[in-house]
Amino acid sequence: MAISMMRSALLRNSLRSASKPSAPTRRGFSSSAHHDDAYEAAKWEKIAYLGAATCTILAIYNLSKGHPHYETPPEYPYLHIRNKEFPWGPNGLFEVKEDHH
Amino acid sequence: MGKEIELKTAPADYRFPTTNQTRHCFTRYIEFHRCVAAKGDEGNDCERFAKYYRSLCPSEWVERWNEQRENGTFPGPL
Amino acid sequence: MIESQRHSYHLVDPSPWPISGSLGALATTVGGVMYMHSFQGGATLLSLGLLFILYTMFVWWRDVLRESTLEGHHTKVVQLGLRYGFILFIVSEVMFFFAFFWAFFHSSLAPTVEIGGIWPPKGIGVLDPWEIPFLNTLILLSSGAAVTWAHHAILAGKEKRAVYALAATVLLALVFTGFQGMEYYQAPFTISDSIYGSTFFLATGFHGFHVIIGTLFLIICGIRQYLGHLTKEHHVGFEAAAWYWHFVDVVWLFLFVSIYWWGGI
Repeated sequence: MAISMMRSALLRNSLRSASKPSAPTRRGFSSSAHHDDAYEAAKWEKIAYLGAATCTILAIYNLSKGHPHYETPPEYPYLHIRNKEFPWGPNGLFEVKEDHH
Repeated sequence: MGKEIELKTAPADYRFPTTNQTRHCFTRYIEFHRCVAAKGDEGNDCERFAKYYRSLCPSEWVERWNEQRENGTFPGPL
Repeated sequence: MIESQRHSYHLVDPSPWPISGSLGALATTVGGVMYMHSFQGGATLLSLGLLFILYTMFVWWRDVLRESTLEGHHTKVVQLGLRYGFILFIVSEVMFFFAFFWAFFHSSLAPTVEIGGIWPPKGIGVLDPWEIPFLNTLILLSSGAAVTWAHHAILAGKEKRAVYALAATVLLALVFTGFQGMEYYQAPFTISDSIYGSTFFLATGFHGFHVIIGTLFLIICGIRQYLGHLTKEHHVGFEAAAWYWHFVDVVWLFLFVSIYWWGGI
């Protein structure tokens, strides 16, 4: 109790330096004990870069392919369901896309 | 006395064990039309499927599905 | 008041934000119903309600940041309570998405005769899961790696690197949202195209909404990291954002496998 009171008093005074005396190097349950955090940070940095590079290549490949064109399907009764007008009018908000491909 | 009329419904089908026979009716309807498509109209090979679906399905459904088949908007796998 | 405190719990001061948030929610609900039934003033009440909620969110969380960062009320025991609270929130979010997956599997495992007893129904041009959706999977996984990088950077006391890592996380998140927007725009079906469209856009749309929330959460963390609010020992806000981000990531994996992949063949 005394520690936490001292802790909150210290925290009021300053931000970064305050937390040191009350909490030793022990960390919360969200960290691994084996490696030190600088090593882990560097490792995950590399993984993130690798992932981002893969995504970039895949994105370029995907976008250069162009998007597929779909034929207008027959009027199955379960398609384009309309029971009443929208508050803004008869058409859906993003429905004017039919003509330009 | 005339000949006795035999009253028969579709036989029990292990694929449709529940009280709700909607899917049974629909499947028999599709089976009939698949059969006709495969074997043609003439023979009596497909007649039993017709009997099954006619005894299972409400006639309004059959009318609607026939209409949809004509318009090319029947949703089932024919 | 703090001087007389003999415990490490945070007894919050009276605040106007719970009632203001409630009034905002009420106005939003009533306004939303009125708008959808084309009542006069419905749109106005709805926008007013939403604005009220946004304002409440802003000032309430501003107060929380002041209480924690500037006034030091978030002691170890308070931090524990915050973690429990956030975990319970994520559990409730899991249940929220569970309902949409239930709706999807209910509709797709035994499709009704109205859609021909098949899934996907005829006339639905399904999206290829190995194009944009797979790319989006990789993007979210990469941003998950970036948030882990940020976490270790914070723990290692590398303050600048942590800001970069959070920026990378947010960038990947924005790219994900961009691709989802593109995919939605080019999709040959809408939410009103059969139960397929309904379950598809309900589940993926709410996921997208959660991605946007998570992105905002991460942006706030990035700004706070830049301002030096987060320390090695005390960064509950970041932890919550990271957990939330992983949750959003996992929901996407389930969406990808069940709705895009399995549900498309």
